[in-house]
Amino acid sequence: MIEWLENHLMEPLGKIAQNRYLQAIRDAFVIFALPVIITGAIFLIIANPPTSLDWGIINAWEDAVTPIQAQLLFPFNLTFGLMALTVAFGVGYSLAIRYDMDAVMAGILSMLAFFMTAFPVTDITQVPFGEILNYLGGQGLFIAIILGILTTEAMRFLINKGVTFEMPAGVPPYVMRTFRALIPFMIILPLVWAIAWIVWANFEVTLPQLVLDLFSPLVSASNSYWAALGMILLMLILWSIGIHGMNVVSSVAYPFWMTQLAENADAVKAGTEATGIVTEPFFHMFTHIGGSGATLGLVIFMLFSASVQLKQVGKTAIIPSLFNINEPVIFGLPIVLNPILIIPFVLGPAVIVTINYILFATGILPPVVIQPPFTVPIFFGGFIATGGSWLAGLVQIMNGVIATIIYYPFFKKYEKQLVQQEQEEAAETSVN
Amino acid sequence: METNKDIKLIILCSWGATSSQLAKKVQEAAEKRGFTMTVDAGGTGEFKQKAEKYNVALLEPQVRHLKKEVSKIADAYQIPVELVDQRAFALMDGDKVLDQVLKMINN
Repeated sequence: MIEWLENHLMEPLGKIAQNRYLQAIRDAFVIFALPVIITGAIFLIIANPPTSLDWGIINAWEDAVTPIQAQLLFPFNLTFGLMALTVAFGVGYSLAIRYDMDAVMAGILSMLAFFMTAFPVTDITQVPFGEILNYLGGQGLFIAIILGILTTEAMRFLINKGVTFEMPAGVPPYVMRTFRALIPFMIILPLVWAIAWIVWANFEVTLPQLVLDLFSPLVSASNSYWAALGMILLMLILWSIGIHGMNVVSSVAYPFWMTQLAENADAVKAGTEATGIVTEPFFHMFTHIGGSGATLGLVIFMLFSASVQLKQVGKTAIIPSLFNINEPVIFGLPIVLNPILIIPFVLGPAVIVTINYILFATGILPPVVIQPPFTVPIFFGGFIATGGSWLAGLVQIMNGVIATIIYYPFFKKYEKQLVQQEQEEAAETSVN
Repeated sequence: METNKDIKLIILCSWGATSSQLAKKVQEAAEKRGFTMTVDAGGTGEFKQKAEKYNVALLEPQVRHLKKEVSKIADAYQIPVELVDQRAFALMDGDKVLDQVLKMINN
């Protein structure tokens, strides 16, 4: 059975997880874009006090920020507004690393190519920067990724074909680097410019807008309950057979999650209703309480278990679990390939996702505007993600409790098995 | 058990979160036994850039599906690669993992 799974499921699914484009996209978001948008989001929160609360301190905060709101929003506008530019660099850079190419040069090329397509190809002095900033941010993510991959592939193709200046040996490496990148830059950038011009001249849209129009049905579909449920089920089923589910799903879903997040932030800034529900924190903060599968409560049970093995694993797992890291639980309990525990492992989060979706869709919970690192502990994560809602923190705790209740009967059954097994083993050793 | 060269171990997971915890445990176990040893942690993605700094690598179970890719890189530098023993990983048992590493090197 396990062997069959290894051969028929692990291999092909592992291939998806190993896909270099998907890995480059994920790295671009997690390594390159995350610090940028977290920093920007802080300014968004400062500039928008939670005015629904009529507290003295909040009123004082509001009075202080109102006259300088535009200035306070400047760092937000520029960081969120350049998210796609960062991602373009990140995709080019990460992909180039996988090819052993000059990663910085690939990143710069891809960033410049993306930048070029975000403007209407016309008299650039007549284009107000604010008008194109949207395309450099959330709305440009898809073209940024596409160009990041295409420019890097084109650069690789040219270098492999020998279409570069090769300097004689003995030339300092940094000089060599300039010349090696020069011809790919001179070929690829004009090509991108020509495409952007053709598109603009014929359709009067910029490339990001064109791609956005193509992708927008997908973006709205990804914001539905069924998409959220599908994502969580896929994540947990993958984990159940020992593959890092979040890793696989997020590499495809990140551009969608980030587009929703950026739209939410824009809506908050504009004072309109934010509609993005299915974002990364929707899973990492509000569903994976204590790690994938919402295992925090389960670990607490383990701490007090009558089974030696469960207690041991529980002790090692509790501290990382508080920071939502639970690989030791998934592999040590184990949940992987465990017919009893896989049931609550999949069922619990599916129930939580349903509850979360309702809470966000009905506006009971404020929208997610910040993506905290996934290691922020329960309660604080929800508080931060929603820009300071206590209720969101409490919902996280509630979700943790729900998962724990669902785990309980299955945990007891598994514990009973283990205790019996341990007793039999002990009896055997005392006989011998 | 004797090794006359310094052991430079890297433990890999997907982002470097659990592996850094395990790396610390292995380092502690090594110090207790009086070994000089470098133990680092990292994500499989970064492995390629720093593989040459190590002479042995371990893979955590959640990235088992990446073993082929990692092995290919490791082979280029003649670094032995194994999966961390699942139970030792669950219990963050530095001693047991250290034993596994010593065995890999002495083979």
